[in-house]
Amino acid sequence: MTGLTLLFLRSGSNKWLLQRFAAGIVLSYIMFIVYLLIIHREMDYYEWVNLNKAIPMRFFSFLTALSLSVHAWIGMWCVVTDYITVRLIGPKADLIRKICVFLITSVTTVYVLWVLKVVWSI
Amino acid sequence: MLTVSIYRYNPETDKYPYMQDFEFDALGKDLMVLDVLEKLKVEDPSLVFRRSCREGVCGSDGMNISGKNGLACITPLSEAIRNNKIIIRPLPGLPVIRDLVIDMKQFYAQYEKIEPYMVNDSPVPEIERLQSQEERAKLDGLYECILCACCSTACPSFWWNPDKFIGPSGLLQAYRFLADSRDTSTKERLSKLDDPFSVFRCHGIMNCVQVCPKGLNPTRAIGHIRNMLIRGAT
Repeated sequence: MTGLTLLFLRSGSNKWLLQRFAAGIVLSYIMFIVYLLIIHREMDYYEWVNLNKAIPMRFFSFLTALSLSVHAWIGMWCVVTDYITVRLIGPKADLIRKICVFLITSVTTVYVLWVLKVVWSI
Repeated sequence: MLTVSIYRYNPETDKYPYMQDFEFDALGKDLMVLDVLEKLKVEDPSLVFRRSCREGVCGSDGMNISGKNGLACITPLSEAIRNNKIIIRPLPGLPVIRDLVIDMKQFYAQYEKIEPYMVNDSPVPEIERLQSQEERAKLDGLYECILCACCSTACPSFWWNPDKFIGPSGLLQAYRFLADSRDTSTKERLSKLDDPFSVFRCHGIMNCVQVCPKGLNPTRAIGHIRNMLIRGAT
């Protein structure tokens, strides 16, 4: 992450807002897909592919995956900084927590890149 | 006869803490838990606990009574007895000095962080800084905190990060000054609280509201601070 991103996330209110904003995007995506499936019950495979090929839909899908990753990253960061502390599990906590944050960052980054590849290869 | 099970630990003589049972006859009276402790102390002078005003004002005798934090002086036996037994432990989450006495340094360190005093650099008026009745009413439910630590030591977020999360008591006091129309350092106070831990580590568990012996609502105050921070961020 860049220094600017770290500076942005150093603010508790920015982090809190970002997590809620990301949740809003994921929720809107879910509602859109459910609405679509209810309205177009007869949609076949080709219509579904064409829908997902459209640039706005590709962008929306990618934005949702990115939002989900951001939401999960902030949530998991809260969990590890709550439970993996020197006070709770001893002096190794700092190292274990850093490893956990690295793993969480890696998994969420790979997930976003994987979604990007899937969405753009339709 | 009532069984009173009390947490005992003297670092000079005990390797580990232990629970000691006392038999106590309340003679059918609904005494306060502090009265019981005082009588047991006559029986065993080595029993140590803090107390002062014995009427819920000083906040000295905060302890964990049958699983719930509270003030021993205003907790009647009838509220604390479970199966003819009372279990009394020190407030959880802070180091024990001896028996029911805890080390409250960390709690006070967080209180100090929020600068619990009015800041106003304008010239001091001849008599007093005036407030309207509406402005004064905003402080109700905030100024009454007696710093007994029952709320903060009931809060899992404070147990996990007592050095970073201010805790419900400190945040209630922080809002008491943020809400005060006479205080002019709102921006500075908020900027000091806007990190991921000081305020935002509150997960809304609301143990603080459940245990506050003065019936205050720290979670609501934390919500107000959060709203002020977010309004400042957007």
